[in-house]
Amino acid sequence: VAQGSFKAIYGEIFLPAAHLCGVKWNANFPENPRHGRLAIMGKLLLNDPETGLELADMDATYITNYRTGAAGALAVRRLAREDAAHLGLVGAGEQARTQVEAILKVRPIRKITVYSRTSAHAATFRDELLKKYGLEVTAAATEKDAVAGQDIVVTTTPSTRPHLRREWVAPGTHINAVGADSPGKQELDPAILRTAKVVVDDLAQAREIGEINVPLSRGDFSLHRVYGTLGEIVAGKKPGRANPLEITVFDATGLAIQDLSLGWEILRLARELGLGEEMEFLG
Amino acid sequence: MSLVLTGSEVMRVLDMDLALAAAQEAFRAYGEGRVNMPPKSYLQLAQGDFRAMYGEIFLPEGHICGLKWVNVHPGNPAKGLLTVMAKILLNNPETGLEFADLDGTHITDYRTGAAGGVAAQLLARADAARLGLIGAGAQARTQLAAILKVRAIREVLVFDRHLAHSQKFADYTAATHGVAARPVANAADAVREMDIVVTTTPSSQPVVFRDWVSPGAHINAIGADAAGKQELDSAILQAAKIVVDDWAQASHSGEINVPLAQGRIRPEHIYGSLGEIAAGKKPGRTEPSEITVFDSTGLIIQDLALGYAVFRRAKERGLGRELDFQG
Repeated sequence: VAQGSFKAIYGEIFLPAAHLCGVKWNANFPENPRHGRLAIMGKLLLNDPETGLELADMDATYITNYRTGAAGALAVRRLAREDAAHLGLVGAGEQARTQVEAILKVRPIRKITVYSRTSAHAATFRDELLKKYGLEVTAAATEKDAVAGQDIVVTTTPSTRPHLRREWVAPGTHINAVGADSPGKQELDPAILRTAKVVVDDLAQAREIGEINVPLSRGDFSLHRVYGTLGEIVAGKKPGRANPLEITVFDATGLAIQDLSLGWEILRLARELGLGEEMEFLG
Repeated sequence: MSLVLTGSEVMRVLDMDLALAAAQEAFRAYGEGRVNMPPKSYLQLAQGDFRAMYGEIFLPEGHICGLKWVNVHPGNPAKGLLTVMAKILLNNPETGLEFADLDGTHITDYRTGAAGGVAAQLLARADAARLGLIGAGAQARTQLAAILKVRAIREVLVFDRHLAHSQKFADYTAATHGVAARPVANAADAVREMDIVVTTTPSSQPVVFRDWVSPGAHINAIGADAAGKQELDSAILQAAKIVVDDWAQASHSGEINVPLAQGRIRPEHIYGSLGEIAAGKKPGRTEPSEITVFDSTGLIIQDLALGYAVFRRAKERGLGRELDFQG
């Protein structure tokens, strides 16, 4: 019986401040929390693409959480209505935490509704959010309550069946579909994808492991319905939300370039603050 | 907690005996189906590339998994830097927790040499005494060190495109190992009448030809490590017992990749894997006169097995630093 899995994600990026490449070696062990360990842990290595020399060797556990949250907020900024004030959460784990923190920075959220299959998790998370942000927060009894009437919905469950139904989703809603991260996983009724403006982080990755992977393989969705990538919208090549009524979906699978970009910022700041240790691994 | 070891700390516990023992274990595990190893994947860059290699292995001493992140930048020596540098991360497959973060540069050199040593042990004639080397770089050094441990080599001939490199290598061999060594001016001289030949060039054209190879010779073909690379004339492979480290990797990026693509050899020509021989599932050399070729591409399980051996020895000796990366 497999207890978990590892994923190596790697790439190269030209940032305004640096040209870098690197790898993230990420562990996903869903049963770990029962034993008092983190489910998702990782290590990030940054290198100079011109020589291969290593620049940094850092824990990636927190970087993964924050970059995933930040991608969600970037999607919200481009795709959710400007006046979005109600945020619904389906799933109340670590991923939901950074999604909330990031989304609060880009939209004037006044009310959060949390649903988790395990109602105790929803209640605990509600208390945490109340304490941290002082907003109105409710733990929903049903998933529908965390979706219907919301301006923004964030799904972070490891589901393999489409639990979030089309009829719950109001016109003008934006959905961050964050949970699907391997073949066979899906959270949304394919009917939502068929009526929505669907934006992916990366088409190749999304069709393999993202929210669209199952509907694509079953013929419930087709690739030409994908509007574009978040990158195209951020780079100004395509507009984001076009009208207040459209339903928008961001299919987040998580890209190595997000880790590299945030890892680089962490490295820069840590150097300024004199944190960590400079080591000569080749010495 | 993760034990962090720099290259110099690794070198305080790493030697060729350790590397040979680890390679034996890695190939035996492969042959017995105790490994889980996706093919390596490449990140192409303007000046070189990176390879992400990862896998899982059940060793007698432990069940481990991990990653090696290794670059190849051919222009580096001109800048005073190493061409190949590596980092190895070792994890517990049952929890995902990291327990070692090691420089993998020396481990890579040693494990590649050790694989050549295991192949020579299982495929070269027991009385092999003459060793020819084509290519006189870092790879040739560890091949030599490993082969000297498994065969009674009395003479070493070295060819390199740069004669100065061959001279330097011959001097090094004599000084370090006390074995007679001499540079030769053409490749054929480092192959003819040799019992064991090792090729470690980055060539995309054959550098060793069929009529140079004596009956009974064993060849370690180490250099080809990417699609399009090839060191041996296809006629050698057609005449030889070909042993690969891993079919998927070798057919894609090993010595056999070009002849396979050109239809010069067929998959049925491949005798088997080094692991099958190490596990006793197939015999190694069966005739004194047969030509044998080991096509080495380098497997992550070799890095994991040797990394784990280095980790355990370093831990015993209190080397390195324990760090809590999530703390």
